[in-house]
Amino acid sequence: MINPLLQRHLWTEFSLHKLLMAPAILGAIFALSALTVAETPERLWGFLAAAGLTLFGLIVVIAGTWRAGRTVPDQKTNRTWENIRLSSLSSWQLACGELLGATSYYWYGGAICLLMVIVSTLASPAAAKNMGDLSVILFLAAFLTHVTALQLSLSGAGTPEQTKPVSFTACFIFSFIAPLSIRQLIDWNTAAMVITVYPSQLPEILPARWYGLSISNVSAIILSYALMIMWGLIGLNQTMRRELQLTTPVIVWISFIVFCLIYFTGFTFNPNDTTSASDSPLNRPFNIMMWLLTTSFSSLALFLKQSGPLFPLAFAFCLSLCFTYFMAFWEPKDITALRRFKSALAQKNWRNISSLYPRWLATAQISMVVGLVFLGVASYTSRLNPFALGIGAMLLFLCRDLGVILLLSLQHKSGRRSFMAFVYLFALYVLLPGLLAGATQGADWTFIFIPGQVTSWPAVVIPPLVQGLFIWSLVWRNWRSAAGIPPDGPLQSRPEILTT
Amino acid sequence: MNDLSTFSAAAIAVENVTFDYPGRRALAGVSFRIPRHSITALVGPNGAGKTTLLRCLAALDLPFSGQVKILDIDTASAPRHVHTHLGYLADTYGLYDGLTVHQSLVHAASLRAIVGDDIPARVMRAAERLGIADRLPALASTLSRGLRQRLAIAQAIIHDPAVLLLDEPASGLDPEARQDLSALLRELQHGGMTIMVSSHILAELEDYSSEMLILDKGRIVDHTPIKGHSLTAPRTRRLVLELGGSSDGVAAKLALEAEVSKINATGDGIEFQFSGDGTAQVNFLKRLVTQGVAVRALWERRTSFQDTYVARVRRDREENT
Repeated sequence: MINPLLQRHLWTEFSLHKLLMAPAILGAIFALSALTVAETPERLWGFLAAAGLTLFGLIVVIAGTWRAGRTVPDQKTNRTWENIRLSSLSSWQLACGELLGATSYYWYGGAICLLMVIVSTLASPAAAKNMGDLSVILFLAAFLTHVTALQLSLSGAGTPEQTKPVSFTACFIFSFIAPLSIRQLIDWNTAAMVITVYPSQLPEILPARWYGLSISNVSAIILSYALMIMWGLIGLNQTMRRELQLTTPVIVWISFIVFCLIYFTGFTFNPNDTTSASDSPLNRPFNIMMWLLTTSFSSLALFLKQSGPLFPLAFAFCLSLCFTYFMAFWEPKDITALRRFKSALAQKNWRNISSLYPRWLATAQISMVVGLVFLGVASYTSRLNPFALGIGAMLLFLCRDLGVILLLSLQHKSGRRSFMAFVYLFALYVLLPGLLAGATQGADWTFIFIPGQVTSWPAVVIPPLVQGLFIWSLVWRNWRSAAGIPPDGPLQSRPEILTT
Repeated sequence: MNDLSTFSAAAIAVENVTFDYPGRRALAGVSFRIPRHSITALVGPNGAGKTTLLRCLAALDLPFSGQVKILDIDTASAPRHVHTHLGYLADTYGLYDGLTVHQSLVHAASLRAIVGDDIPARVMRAAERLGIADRLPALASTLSRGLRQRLAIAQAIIHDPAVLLLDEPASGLDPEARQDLSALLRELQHGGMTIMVSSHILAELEDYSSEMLILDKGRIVDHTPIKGHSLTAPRTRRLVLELGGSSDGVAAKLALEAEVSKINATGDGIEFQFSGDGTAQVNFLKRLVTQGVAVRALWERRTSFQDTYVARVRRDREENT
């Protein structure tokens, strides 16, 4: 029997009109392309293959992802999602039905485009060089962005309307760019090739190295996508389980984070590499993840640049920090959820503890472990130099930042919490250090607000420790007085805000 | 943890349930039991916690503390098992506007794991029950509000659930459709279904409800049986004695009766509280006639749903201030 959700999507997405419209419009575009570039057959077929792949990217990757990220929020808005939650379907049926059903029409359009690529490749193999590899990569990229968009649309804090644009952006960063951004896996040429979808230079690129093992670039990219898709589906299943009121053990999330740290760090690790700081991966021609880090977090980029032989550990630490901050902002952290978790802890109900364990907290704890290992190795190898002190400062500032995010989560109304936390952290990391630098006229006191290059322990420890203690004391005070509702106490009558 | 094993006869057993939203408590220590094959009216002012309670019963939301059992199944430990026995219509329900009525019902049936061969019969049965069999080819988006409501109810009962939870099912229905809904609910009850209906329209609930559950500020104010009580079971009620002649000395005679209390002379006779069963009432009447009291009529003064509800909510609020 066909999946009921897939069947419903097919009913709504595939009218006769829409079935005929897609091939008609795409056929017209291809015909127009053929008329425009009809100089030589080889050039024509190459252009048609590139056009097919570009359209596939636009239709399936871009539009399909947008649709995948909208399907559940739209059902929540239209009040039909509760019927799905009450259904007899399993979490896997839910995940597959929504994932394939919502994007089915986009896959239909994409299939027409891929048909064009196949025809072009068969007609002129030389002109459509590497189109097969690119098609597979784009196909997997599309699937991964769909999975991620659907999952993010279900898991974020705030209303569906608020999470839609964020989930759309985030799924591209995490799904489309990140797997292609592995060190040595992709350089500027590859990025340009993938993004502009023109005949590639793939065979000319040096093979990727994973913990010293040599692996072809295409294989590494495809393997990375396949693994991320596997984790994406596992994550989607977990999200659907939560929708169905089933338990979602935290070990799945921890496994995902640990896997990412080990797997992606493998591409930064080369036992025979004796590169100095000046030859660190940041100095390589182009790397999207490094570029993102450089532009977004200049301190992190500098930190990575200085890590030298410890680059793999530094990379793993930075990656865990990225996950921690993302989850701290993304995951809902309302007082009720935290009180449920506290209650489960008090009752030593391990099943509930595992299910309710805040994912941002688990990720932060992993960051702490990775950071402490990194700190230990850095201290052992080069004594307590400013670099090692910087790691300690980053850990302390992480605690402060989590306190800020949690404090605002307990205070502000739904929807504004993450934004307010972002504004406060922006002030702490950019505005206040800027003002301080301007006021002190050259004397570097910015280490008070951001992990800086300092040479003494007190300068590293005291500023974030004082700020952290202050913030966490406020968190504790808010926690105790949150809404004035004792866990098992009498009803605190608040008729003005009671709603059904 | 409370032991609910003794409540196996109850279709719905709720024990000390608390539910919090961020910054506010929606349900505070709610406990009650609903017998099988009954229709319970869930009433209360706006913001009382009715929808939250129904969502907890439907295992769509998990209470912060306490226990909810549907047909003896714990919603916290086996929510999916509960879902298979449950039909639920939310107050703000939704329909897929791009589907026809027939497709909507087929979709609802397949969501409820009804096997393919059974689906056409189930669809027709649900459509006929709700009077929308002639609308099967119509798109849901083209239906009037009342017909959309009927379609939503048809979807909720297509799998013949043992427990049906309806949140404001009559809103948007015209008087005739409301009457049809009352008849349908009675039919479903006679078919063995346990139904809980949340509504603001008390007069209509009175037609078919056997129990009334009053919720206010997240607490159960009252849980009263309305119908279905046995004539032989002793219970306290207000009786009115209409006399064909003088009422002199009648009050004194009534005061001597063991089952009688709180005697008042009213415009239409003498009203008093009677605490005996049906047999005691027959014997009481015989004694009055034997003593020469000119009895024209003896009837029970029933309190309307509305009166009971308002009186209980007011009394509760006075007690809590």
